[in-house]
Amino acid sequence: MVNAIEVDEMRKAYPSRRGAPTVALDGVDLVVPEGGVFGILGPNGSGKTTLIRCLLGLTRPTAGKAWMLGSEVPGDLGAIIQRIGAVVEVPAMFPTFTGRRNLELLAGYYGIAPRKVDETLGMVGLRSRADDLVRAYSFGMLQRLGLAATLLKDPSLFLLDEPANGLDPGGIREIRQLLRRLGAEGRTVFVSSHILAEVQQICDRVAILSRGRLVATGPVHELLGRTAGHFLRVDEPARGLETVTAAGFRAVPVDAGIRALVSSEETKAVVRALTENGIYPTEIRPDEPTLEDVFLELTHEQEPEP
Amino acid sequence: MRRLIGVEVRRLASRPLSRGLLVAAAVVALGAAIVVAVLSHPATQAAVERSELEYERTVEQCIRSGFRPPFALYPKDARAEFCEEAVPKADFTFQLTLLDDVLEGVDVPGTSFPLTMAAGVLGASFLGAEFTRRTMTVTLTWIPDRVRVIVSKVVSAGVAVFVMALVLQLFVGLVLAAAAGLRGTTGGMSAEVIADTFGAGARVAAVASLAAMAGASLAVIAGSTAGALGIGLLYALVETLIKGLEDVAWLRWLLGENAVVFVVGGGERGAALGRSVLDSTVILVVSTAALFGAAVALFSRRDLA
Repeated sequence: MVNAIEVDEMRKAYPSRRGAPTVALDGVDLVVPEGGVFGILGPNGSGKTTLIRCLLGLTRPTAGKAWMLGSEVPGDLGAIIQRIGAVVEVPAMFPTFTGRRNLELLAGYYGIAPRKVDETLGMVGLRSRADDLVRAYSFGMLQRLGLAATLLKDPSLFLLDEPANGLDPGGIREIRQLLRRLGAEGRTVFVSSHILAEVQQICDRVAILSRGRLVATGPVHELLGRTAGHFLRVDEPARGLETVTAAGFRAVPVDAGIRALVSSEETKAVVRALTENGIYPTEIRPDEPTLEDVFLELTHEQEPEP
Repeated sequence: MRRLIGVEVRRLASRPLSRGLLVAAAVVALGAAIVVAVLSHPATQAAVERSELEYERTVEQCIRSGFRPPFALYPKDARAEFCEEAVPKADFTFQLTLLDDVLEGVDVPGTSFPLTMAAGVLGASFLGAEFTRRTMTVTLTWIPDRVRVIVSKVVSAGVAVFVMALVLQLFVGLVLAAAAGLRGTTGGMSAEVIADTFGAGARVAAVASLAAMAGASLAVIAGSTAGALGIGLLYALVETLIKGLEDVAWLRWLLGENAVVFVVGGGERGAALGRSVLDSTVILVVSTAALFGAAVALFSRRDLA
């Protein structure tokens, strides 16, 4: 089976006038299988958008190779672009044209029938505002219009950069349902986001980027399993974290306490280490991790030493 | 490529700037026709000829008078040119045969200069907006071949402006023909004059088209409309300074001067510069092509935001 996306040792460095180049991607290896929703997570500046730009040929990588739908990109992008729908950052549309006119012009590139424009506007809930000028659109409406533009081509691979940005809760739910439906239809949806709860709800697999490096990738449930642990409520979380870490256990700070990434058996040793240092936990319970915990743990590990 | 150009032409025609400029130009043309109609009134062919004879006699007297004109554009013809412009035409009739001059706009306020300037701005804005609005990024997610994309956009600017310029001049011709027919004279409109007039209109449209492509190319090079207009203004300043030198060896290479030679079909200006219509055409086309080539080369390598 051909993977939807393959990235091999991709590197992108931007020249800087003040010293060393800025490295946006640092040897990223990534495989996105066909079908389903694949999320790429990372804090701002981690390289998510740069990766999408490199895949679409908008930015030339400094080194490395990439393939989409079996074709090397950006060289052979022309052969597969009709099967790819992409939105990079904020959807860019002509503000002095209506939403419909913007889509009609894009549809004209491939001779797509006008009824398809109407259909996609309906799919993203924009039909009633289709004849308004885009400059009157809210940010959320622009996101919907961008998504409608990708749907025009009826693609098998979507590259969406933060598609839920700016949407209200109702809009987020609609887009979530739409993306899940597209993934369930056998299409591949590659979506970048920093809204971890969203990714956890819609993605089958995720990859986590930090400082241009891929720090983890895999099915969501597997990544969540990596950080199963126990919550310990303590009065001085910072000192508690220091103590647990000094005792040789992995732990991350959480609200009003610490999360020790240990099994039930190891919890006794963690509590002993704390009490020996005068820190008495007032609550200890097994804690179901969220993707946010995984994300914070992994990106925390990547932070440079002070 | 044809489909791409079709989309881009439709996009350019839908832009408020294009429509605004077209409407403004049409209003000005209509206004000019009304003014012409108000200031003119019908006259017999004999009266028109008497008026022309009177004008020519006054110009002759002016030339023979021996005074020195206050400036000299081209030393050889300075006094004749000055007198022709300084002596008022005691013409009460708008003659349709003047349309050629109106379109060329070289010796009388006409369409060629404003059309060329507007075309340059329109071309620069058409491509510049693509970068500032980031819509070029969207286009490339549909058509990743950058050379095809940029060629289609720049060529579309040229094609659309050529058609718009022709339509606009046809409109100017029609409203002035109406004014001449109702309040002036259509006398002297031979087949030759009509052909000359159409030729002048087509040449003006061609220069406007080249200006649009040059403006669009500059916008690609600069990455914005403002950058393109800045470069254009800088060039205009340099050309004005060079004109001040009044040195034919320099003047004959200026784009503005060559555009005039091309639009008027050679004429005295061409003879003064030692440029034929073909020479000027080659200079204008090669200059635009060089800008276009630079734009394509730069755009092919650039990382897009």
